[in-house]
Amino acid sequence: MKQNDFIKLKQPEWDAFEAALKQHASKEEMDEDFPARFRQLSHDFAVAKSRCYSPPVIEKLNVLLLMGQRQLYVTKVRPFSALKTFFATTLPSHLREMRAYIIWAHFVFYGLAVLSYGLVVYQPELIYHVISSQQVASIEWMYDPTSEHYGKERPSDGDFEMFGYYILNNISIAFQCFVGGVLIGFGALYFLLFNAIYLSAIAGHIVNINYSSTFFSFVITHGAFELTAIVLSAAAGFVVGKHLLMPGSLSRAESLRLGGKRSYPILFLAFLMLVVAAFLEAFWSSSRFIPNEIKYGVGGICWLFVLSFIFWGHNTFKRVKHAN
Amino acid sequence: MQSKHDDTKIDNRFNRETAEGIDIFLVPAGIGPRSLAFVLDLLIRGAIMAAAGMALGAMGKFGSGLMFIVYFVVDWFYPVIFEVFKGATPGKSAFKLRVVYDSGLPITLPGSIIRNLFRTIDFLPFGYVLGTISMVSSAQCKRVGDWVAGSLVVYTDKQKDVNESTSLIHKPISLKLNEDEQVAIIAFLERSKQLSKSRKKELAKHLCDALDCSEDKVVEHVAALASNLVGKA
Repeated sequence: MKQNDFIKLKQPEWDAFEAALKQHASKEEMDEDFPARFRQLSHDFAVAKSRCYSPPVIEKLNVLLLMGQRQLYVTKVRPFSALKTFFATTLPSHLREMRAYIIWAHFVFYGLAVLSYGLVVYQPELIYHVISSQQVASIEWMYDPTSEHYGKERPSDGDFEMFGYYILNNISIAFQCFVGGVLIGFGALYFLLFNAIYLSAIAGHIVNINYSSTFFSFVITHGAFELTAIVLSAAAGFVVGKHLLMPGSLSRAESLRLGGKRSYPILFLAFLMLVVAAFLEAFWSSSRFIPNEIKYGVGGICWLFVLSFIFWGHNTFKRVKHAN
Repeated sequence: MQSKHDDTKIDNRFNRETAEGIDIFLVPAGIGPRSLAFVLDLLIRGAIMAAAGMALGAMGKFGSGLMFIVYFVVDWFYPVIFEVFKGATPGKSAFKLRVVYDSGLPITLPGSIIRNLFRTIDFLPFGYVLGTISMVSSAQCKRVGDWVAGSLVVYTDKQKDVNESTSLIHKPISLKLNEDEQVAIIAFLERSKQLSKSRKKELAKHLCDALDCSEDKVVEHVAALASNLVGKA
């Protein structure tokens, strides 16, 4: 069949398909003939190509197919059901799969933290190698139990300001830990080690100058979420780095893609934990009216909850599922 | 999945097999339009931040807290929100680009989050240097985030009219042509409206001998040949 006869014969069908496309896009409900039309169009396209019809004809059909494909195979965004599946199956299974990485990241982070903490307690002036003297002074001012600002409760709009600030700051740190994994894992390692040394050096210094009561009661609750989230993002970053460095039988690009897919749920969990941490840090940790004993108690429970969720969460979910 | 890049091709479009068993083709966008789209997005983001700053600035500390959150969301999630719900950010739409998976299907939430998180890596060591290197050295113009998410930025589909062209010469021409040559002749006819007279002549005169005609008439003869091929003569 010559090209023009083919066009004449098929043009009405193509027009109908285009009309169905537009209708579908505006009304969100699919014409019941749409899939059939799409298959017919696929056939026309194959015929046009095999008969070497001219480029504009083939291009026109290609465009129609692309638009059709987009509407036929689009995944509807259903946030709540997606979130439910995420917590019920995706996250536990990925936590289990990544367990080795998460454990190692914990060891690296807390190992170095203990080391740096010990060094600063043993040799107090080492703190100035890690943090500038200006910063040390401002930290000392913040946690000084005798200072005037300490007795006063911050007004709640001030709390909200800090909440916004913590979200911006902390979550950016965790995201850096994750994407740092692409630099063959070194990026993630760098951010992890930096935070371990930095935070534990501060803790050591606080102990040296005897401000522990204000400092540890402040950090214990949100630290459960925040520190674990940093460790988790670094673990997820390592997974990406490992896929890049050792792709195995896959191509490097494909392996990198797989690494992103495997570690993404862990990163999302870290993100949620950091939002919780920012909330706690702004509204709970900084409150002056809550006695330290309660803060330590709640903080301890948070640590237990977070760690047991990370390491044994998948078992709990399995049991819940079986019970249902 | 990955189609091989053919060095002999004159354009960068490549085929993807669909579930229906046919090969459709996609045209990846180059670094030029993508950079322009990025700059436009940057301006839009700046405008959002400025507007939020003016609205929230009057609200004291609560406002500045909200401001931090707005900044965080705009900084990390502006592209994600637009890509998932609209297929492209406003900047990309303006340059007729859209973000799809390697399969040509629209991007979804996980892919979009990953490809935008990895902007941090693409940015290294400064000003998207790594991303630029990655884009110019890959056939499909992918930055690092695109590799990890398995995504692509392609041109949106431009609808082309299938015009039926006619010729003044109604003389049957018999010339044996293979498939590629036929396609080239027909393409010549269909593009002839966009070409200048002298360019048409320049292209067509190679066929003078084969069609046995003078250089002045060769354009009409080729047009006639093409009409003949598409079924018009």
